[in-house]
Amino acid sequence: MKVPMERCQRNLAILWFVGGGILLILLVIQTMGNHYLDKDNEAWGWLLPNLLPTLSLIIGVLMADTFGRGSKGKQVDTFVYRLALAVSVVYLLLVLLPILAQPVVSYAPLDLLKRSNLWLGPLQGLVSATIGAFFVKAEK
Amino acid sequence: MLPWGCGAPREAAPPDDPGSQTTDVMVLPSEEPIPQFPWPPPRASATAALSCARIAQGPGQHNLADIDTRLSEALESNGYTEKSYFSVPAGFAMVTRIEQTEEDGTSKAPPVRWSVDVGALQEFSLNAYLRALFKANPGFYRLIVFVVTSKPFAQKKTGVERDEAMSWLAEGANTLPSSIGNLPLTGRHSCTALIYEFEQPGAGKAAALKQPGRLPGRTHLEKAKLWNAMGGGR
Repeated sequence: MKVPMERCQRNLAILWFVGGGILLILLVIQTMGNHYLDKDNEAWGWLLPNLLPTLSLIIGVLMADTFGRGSKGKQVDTFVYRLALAVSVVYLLLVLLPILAQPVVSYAPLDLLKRSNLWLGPLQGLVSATIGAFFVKAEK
Repeated sequence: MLPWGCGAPREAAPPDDPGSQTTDVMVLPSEEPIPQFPWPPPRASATAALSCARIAQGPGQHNLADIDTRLSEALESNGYTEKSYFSVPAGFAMVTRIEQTEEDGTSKAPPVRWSVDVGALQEFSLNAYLRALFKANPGFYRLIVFVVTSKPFAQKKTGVERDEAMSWLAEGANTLPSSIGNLPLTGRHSCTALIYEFEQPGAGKAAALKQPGRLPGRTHLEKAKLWNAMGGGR
């Protein structure tokens, strides 16, 4: 079963921009509240590499659409689309978790962010691979 | 040579003549050694003067052991079950265990009260959660030293590190020796609460002594529910 590529891309883009936006806003408010004290750089140094690669890929595809090398008329396998969507949701939630959990765990906030790289690192590879495969599998 | 040096607590020097006491040097019998409190005491965040007469209560002749008993009762009734004793010129110092307080000086509920690091939220509320999520989560700590002596004293120019202050509890004696406790309470005796207040900017950060403290000494004692229990000030 196939679904239009354009719709899939739009939905994924909305998911990533909304999810990424929430994460960015949370970190901005934490930075303004001096939550990380003198370690703001490290907190941003944790978040940006977890978001920017995928956001850059999505923006790149959207730009390609705009300049005519897009995916109009292309179809994508539903399973691949749903897999990309599910992996993206899980990944964004797992990025959100170490931020929202800070008040209820005994770790220092930055320690918790650093520890989360244990699972976010491998998962980011999965996300990139899934979204990459999603585009590769697109067909007319 | 000064009879009472500065720095870390040390054991009392062995007496030349166990039965004698000079006005400046308290010589303890060798069977009752008790460490000396750093003297003059390190600069505190705040101080509060308590009335020895009110602490001792009741008519008649009192001695320093009576003061110790009343202080200990007041402390224990408010959760301060650990304390230790040091000698000071013509008196004694009683050190409480360091405790974690709220920003306004109120003691936190155990077990957080006795924790020496900022922990997670103990009682969940949306307000507390959002505050902990977006703001720095500082820890406030307080250690009280009650100094009972008939000698006037000033404080050192320098303060004390939290670790060193915390070590006082373990380094002091567990009871007040009778050689000090039997000293008569006179009108010249004063009871001064030295409050050492430390602030930790966030979890895992070092705590620093607040000088001057955020709160006056009396407020600290009131928030710790010790002010009234000890008969109030002069």
